[in-house]
Amino acid sequence: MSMTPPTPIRRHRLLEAIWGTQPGLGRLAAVNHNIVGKRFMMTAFVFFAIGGILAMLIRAQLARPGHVFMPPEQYNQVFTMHGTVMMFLFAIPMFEGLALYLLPKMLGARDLAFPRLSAFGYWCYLLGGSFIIGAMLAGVAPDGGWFMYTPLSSSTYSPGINADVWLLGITFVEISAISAAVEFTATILKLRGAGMALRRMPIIAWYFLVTAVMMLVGFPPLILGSILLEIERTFGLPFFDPARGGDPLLWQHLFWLFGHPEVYIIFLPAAGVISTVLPVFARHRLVGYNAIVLALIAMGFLSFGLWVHHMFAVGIPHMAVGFFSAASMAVAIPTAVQIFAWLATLLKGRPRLDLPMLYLLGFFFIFVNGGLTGVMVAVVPFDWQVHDSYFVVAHLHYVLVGGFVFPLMAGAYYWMPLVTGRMPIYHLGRAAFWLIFVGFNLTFLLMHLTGLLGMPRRVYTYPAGIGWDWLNLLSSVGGFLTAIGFALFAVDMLMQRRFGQHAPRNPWGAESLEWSLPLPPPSYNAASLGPVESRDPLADRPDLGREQAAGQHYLATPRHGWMETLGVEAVSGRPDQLILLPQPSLVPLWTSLATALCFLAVLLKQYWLVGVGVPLVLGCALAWLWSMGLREDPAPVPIGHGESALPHPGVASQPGWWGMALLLLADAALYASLLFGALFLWVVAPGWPPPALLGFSPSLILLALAGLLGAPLAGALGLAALRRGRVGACALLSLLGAGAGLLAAAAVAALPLWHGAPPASHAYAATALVLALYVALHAALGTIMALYTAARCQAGYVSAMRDLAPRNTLMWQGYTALCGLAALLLLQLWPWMAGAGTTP
Amino acid sequence: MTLLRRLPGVAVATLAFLLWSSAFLLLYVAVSLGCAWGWDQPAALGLSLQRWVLLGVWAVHLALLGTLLAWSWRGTRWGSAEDAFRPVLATGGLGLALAATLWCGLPVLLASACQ
Repeated sequence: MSMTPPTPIRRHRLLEAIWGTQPGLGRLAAVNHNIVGKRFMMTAFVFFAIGGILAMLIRAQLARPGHVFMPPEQYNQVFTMHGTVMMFLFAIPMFEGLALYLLPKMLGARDLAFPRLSAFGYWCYLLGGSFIIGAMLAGVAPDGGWFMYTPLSSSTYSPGINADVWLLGITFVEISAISAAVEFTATILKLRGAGMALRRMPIIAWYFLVTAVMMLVGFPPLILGSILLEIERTFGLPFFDPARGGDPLLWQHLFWLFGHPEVYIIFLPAAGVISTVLPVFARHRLVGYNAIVLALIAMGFLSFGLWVHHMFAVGIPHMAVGFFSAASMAVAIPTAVQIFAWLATLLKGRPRLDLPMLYLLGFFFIFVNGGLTGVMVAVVPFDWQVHDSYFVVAHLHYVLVGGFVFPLMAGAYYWMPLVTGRMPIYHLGRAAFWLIFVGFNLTFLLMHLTGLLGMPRRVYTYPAGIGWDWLNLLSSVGGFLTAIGFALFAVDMLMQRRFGQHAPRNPWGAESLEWSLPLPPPSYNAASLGPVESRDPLADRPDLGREQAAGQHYLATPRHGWMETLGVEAVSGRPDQLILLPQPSLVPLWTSLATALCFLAVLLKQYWLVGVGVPLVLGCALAWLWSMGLREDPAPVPIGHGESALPHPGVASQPGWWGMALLLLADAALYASLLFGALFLWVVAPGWPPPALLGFSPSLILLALAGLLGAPLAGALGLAALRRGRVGACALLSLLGAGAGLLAAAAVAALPLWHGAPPASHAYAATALVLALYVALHAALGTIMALYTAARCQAGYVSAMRDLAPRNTLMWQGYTALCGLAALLLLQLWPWMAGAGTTP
Repeated sequence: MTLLRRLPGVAVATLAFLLWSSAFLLLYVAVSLGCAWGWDQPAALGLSLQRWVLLGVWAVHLALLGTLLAWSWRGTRWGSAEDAFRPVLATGGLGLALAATLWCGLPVLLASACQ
């Protein structure tokens, strides 16, 4: 290969040939963040439109007392779907799309850490969302409210498949959210521009980082709750049935353990948009960057101590309620830190009222009001008065629409020139703003009064003459005004794309890296990756865009058809590896289709199909992983600026390691939720201690222990052998670890079945079975991973330097062993703790 | 102490709020288990065993966070916006977590445990 630097045009052609996506059916194989990010946002907007139409149906029904626009059964489906679509199919995926699209550009990278995972997440989202909307069109939409409280959602009171659609569909979509969270965290920590230390990251990357970690910890409780409820509905194992030792409140705990952090998961990315957009239009750098980062970390933690404030009315002891009430008030402080930082930025700057700024002012008005009513409902006696009334509906819409939709629309106008290369057309955008702002306040400001006058949520109609008539009518008029405003916004976006003037580079005079790119950016973002020397890289180097295009910086010369970007040390931002990203592939699509088959099979009770779907998923996943890696130890290669770096397969802290660690964090959150559920049932649920206790065979326990501890031991010995260059010994020890894992899986799964009560008889037996199955499943997956490691060793993909497969397998086996030990301890101690004497 | 100074600010802030989480979780567990196991009867000095456990959990976390904050404060060097990043996150994080632990634990002094 010639080392003569190519001209900018030739460099562009060479890079486009490497990074571009094939036309036609090749688009299905796209993994590039530009494409996947836009797909996410477009799809989320379509779901937003569907959710909006459902909202209009609700308002049409409630416009007049005794209205018969739709029957109550249909109304139940409509309001359930409105909440479900807006929360799960619009808000979170819109954030995912925005982050997918923006993060690499703002961090100075060419793509995300795991592009195929992004594509897989998108297909899961699209299929899962279509699955739920398809059910609605078929008339079997979920109808138990967007939070699916038990016992209403149990098979006794919801016998159709409506609730199953929600439980399975949302779990399927959550795969996408977990994938995105792993993707964003690994990317922010490892794929940044040279010199972009943590203290110099664009502020929005901090917001995305905190949000992603919150998703990793916050979503698993809901996934667990959905799995348990689906098991109860399908197989009769009681977790939420008080007659058999379960408790409906367990569902509420698991749901809100997810549901309250979810509010911040939705708000924080939007706040990141504000912290990015507002300083540009205030013409002053963001005041209080450091304090905002600290506030974000505080919010990330405090928001996990609020979930019980959704349950103040269920009869929890005063002191416990007090803890959650205090935390609910405390979280207002880091939120206020941000609000004051934004106000200070406005005060110190010379604000200009461009369109994005108008939407930000709308945000301030609406969100601050939502925050204030939030403090009101954090006060327990007040909450008891307005619980389940329209006051709460008004509050949550002020928070969510004010805190997410308005900043997002500001962001849409701000970044659309980046996406389309064209400038906004102002008149339509302003008209849309005023329609939405007036319409929204007409709808929801009055709804506070409707709630205070006693109107409960989720009623499909109400009698005339009790003071609710005119309030509901005006709310409905406001709702339709809002809808017209959003339609105008959509038209404006289309018009901008078609008729907007061509945008110059950096049209707003911003100082963050994405504006150094050509508009719209090419598939590879920057032809060379510029260094970062402060928080405002374009202020330091206003000509950075041209320097990058001229190939004056990192990775300017394409080679070997590699899709290259820089990997950095997480804290300092010094380049420590050359990341080689995978090519476009259809495997993510096939994997998501196989996953969809499993979910559909369970929904339709065709369990034999699961036996087909699971091997297909595993096969796709193995094919996916197998296609990556190197068969030779890499040597350092020049990366520009006189520096060199090792390709990532030869580096210990490569993104693949981070991916596994982050996945296990989410997994651990799910397991911790399961342990919480087990302890909750034992302490709180009626019908305990159980009538019969499980007796565990000592020999089975010994076999389980041998397998659980043997697998990581073999893995550790294999890794030690690999360090000494003995690849064959590593392969053999991996096989041994696979055998140990299999032993553990069989022994642990057999434990609760060996003696004692049938799992359907009591929540104790059911929970013990789920605990055992969790550990057994992990041991079985550890076996597959160990076999994969042995095969990789044999195929030449593993060496002392290229040790990701054995290290990740060991991490998994170690995690499984810890979970197994915790489960065995709990199962052994449970009878003693329950005060029921010794095991039979 | 040396380790604390070597840790990145984001790690110290995370550690600080993990301690807040630990206090919050243990207080919640102690209320639940204490009520389930009947520890809410007067035991010593007019207080129940449950109340003593709650006070103990709260005090240990406050002491730990207070000590870490004092250590962190002594070594703090404030500077320009970028230089102040670590101290704001480390010392500020410990201070905020201490305040949050103090605030969220107040019901231990004020509320009835099992009613």
